[in-house]
Amino acid sequence: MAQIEVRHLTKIFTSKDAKVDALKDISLEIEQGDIYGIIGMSGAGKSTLVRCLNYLEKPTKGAVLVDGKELGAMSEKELLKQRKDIAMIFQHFNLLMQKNVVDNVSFPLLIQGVKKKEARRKAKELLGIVGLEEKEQSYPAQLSGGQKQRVAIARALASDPRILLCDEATSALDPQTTASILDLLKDINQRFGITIVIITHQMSVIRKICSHVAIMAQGEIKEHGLVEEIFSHPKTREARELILKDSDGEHGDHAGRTQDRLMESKKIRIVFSENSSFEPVIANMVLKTGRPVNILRADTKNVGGIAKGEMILGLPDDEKLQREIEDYITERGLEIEEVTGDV
Amino acid sequence: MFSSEVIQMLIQGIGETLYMTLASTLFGYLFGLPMGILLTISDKEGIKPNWVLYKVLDVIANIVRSVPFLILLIVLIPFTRMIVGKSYGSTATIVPLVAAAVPYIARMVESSLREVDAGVIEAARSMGASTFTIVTKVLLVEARTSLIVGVTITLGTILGYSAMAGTVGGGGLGDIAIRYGYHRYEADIMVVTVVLLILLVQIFQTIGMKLSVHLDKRK
Repeated sequence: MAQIEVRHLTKIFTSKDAKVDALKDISLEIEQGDIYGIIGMSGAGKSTLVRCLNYLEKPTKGAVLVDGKELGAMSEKELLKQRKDIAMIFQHFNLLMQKNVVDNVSFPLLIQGVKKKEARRKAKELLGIVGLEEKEQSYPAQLSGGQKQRVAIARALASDPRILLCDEATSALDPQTTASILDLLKDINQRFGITIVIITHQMSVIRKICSHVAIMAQGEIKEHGLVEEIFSHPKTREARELILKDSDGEHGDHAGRTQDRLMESKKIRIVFSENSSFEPVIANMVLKTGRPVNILRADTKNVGGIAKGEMILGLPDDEKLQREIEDYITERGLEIEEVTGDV
Repeated sequence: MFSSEVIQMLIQGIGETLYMTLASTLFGYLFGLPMGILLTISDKEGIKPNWVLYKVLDVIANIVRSVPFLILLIVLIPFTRMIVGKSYGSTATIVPLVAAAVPYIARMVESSLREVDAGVIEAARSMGASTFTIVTKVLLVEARTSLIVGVTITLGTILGYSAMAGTVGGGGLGDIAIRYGYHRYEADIMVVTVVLLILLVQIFQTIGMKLSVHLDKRK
């Protein structure tokens, strides 16, 4: 049984003059111990979706089940208790500005009626885990963004949650701080077996720590599955766009120029999986056929510890030669697909 | 410069003014604070929206706040008599002062609590905090500097109102200013009482601001 199960979730926001379908018939399963990424552009509905997982937003239709229990069927009191199991961290940290660090971390424990002394003891222990033990008397205003998020993570862990929801938790942070926060989240996932759901618009976040990913656009899940699967076989336009955007960020502006040339002739995408990207397949193929191919785009990266890559080749116009090249590549165990105008 | 009786009278006036101001503010918060909290949370953007409750409180606050204090003072005389037993003197003045202060305080509290970051409230909700916990442990704590500034402003306003009550025998410095300064043309006594009132407001203001800055941990 999946730890989190979302069934046909629909959320409609109605205001005076407009009806917005924030979520349209979303179904999703998240297993215990997963790091599940939900990615999409702003306005895709991902923040609404994550708020339905702890019922901060009540869905218009559909059900959310956590450990088999339906949140919508719970009384207000049961729901408040259930939220102890589902912690959340936020883009803007949302710490109590008038309380010091150790009091912020104790806060969820005090809500649950834990004695103040016991709560503080546990808070100090958690500050050790996030590496902030010497800041316990500081106030949030005296901390950097990364430190604030660490406090928020310590606070989230205080109630021994089984699930941690992260709403754009690294979006307000610089790349180095983002990396260290993601490392911390991965560490927490492995040490405590906490299921983590990450909402983000950054593909790099998904690539770095997620095991699964769902791609959202216009209130729908376009595609979901294992991160390596989606990276190597993006089926939908939305997925391809996000993966492409991700590599643009890393390799500068060359993508714009290749995109023009992508319009030329027949193009194929070659996908490297496992360690095949280190074999000189393309070079050998060119030597064998004696005809050059145009490498329009080449990109490999580390996905979950495995070298993944893709390359887009512009093929010669000769159809016989095209088939020959495609056969050669598939014989080498690589996957190809034809690429149309929009990559 | 003044005879000892006049000085004695002024000291008593200061005492009565402080008594009226502080007691009215205290009782005012006793009712105004909950009213302000209810206004905040029952609003449609609040944590427990309740349109009917919000509208009722909203209308009450607006009605009471639009009646001039002097009129309120007179209209409430039967009510004051019922509670205190008489309608003049500083204790009797506390009744209309509280009546005027409650909606004023409720609005001050409402505006302070509205400043609290919605994200922090959402974080508390995500931890399973009840409405009561959010009010006592998040709203009132996060808004405390603004609430203290509100108390300071309220004290100044109530002090001014208490002086107005002097026209109907309310006691305190305002009463002295009207009786001696206005009715008996003793301008020097009037000037002294006004200066004393200014000093009192100044003291309240300074203490309040110092306290709120001291308690603000946002910087």
